Amino acid sequence: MGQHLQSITLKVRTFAILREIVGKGQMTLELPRQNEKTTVADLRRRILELYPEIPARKIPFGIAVNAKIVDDKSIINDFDEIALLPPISGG
Amino acid sequence: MFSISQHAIDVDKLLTTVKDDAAGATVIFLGTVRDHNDDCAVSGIHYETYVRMAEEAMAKIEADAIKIWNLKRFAAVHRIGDLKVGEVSVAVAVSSEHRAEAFDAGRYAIDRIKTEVPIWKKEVTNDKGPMWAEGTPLEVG
Repeated sequence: MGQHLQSITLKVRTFAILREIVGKGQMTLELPRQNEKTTVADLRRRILELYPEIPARKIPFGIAVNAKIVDDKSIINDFDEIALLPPISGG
Repeated sequence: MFSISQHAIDVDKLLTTVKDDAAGATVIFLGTVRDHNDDCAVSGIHYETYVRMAEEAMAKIEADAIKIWNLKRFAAVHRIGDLKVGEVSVAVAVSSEHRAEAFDAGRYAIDRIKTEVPIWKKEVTNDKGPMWAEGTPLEVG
């Protein structure tokens, strides 16, 4: 359990316009560990800081944790599969 | 049954999949790439998806459609990759005892696919270059 202290590591997938802005479809992101309660809101804040083009272009996005869309209060854990999902347009 | 395909959708095969001797009605919906959107000429569409989540979302839609309309069979395919005008991007086929249920279930399924399955399209336009389509935000849950 040596790695449990400073930060958590997330695998983040991006799609469509967000993939183009981020520049890759998959990345690894480290977030500071917040007393075992790092939330989706913390992740969202970090993404918006790292990629200011997303808020500048007012691109809304949902966040999925392990393939389920969750709200910003949800807790995320080490090695969860995260996905950043802009509004969908299939069909 | 749902699949995501990088190759042309085989409509005959889809119809075979929903064939059932107890069904008196089969309805198939085909979504095709249109040559314009609003005033813009469109020459093709690029589609991409998040496969894991798309398969889970479609399984729910399929189970609900079968239950609500007592369908005999259900099959859907969504294409990804680069499509030209006229190509089939999505197909939904259902079979049921009578036609009313089949029509309703087909409409229900395609409407939910468009608002719940994580698929994105980028339209290739001559005037403005490639543009991601405006879409529907995914809901929590």
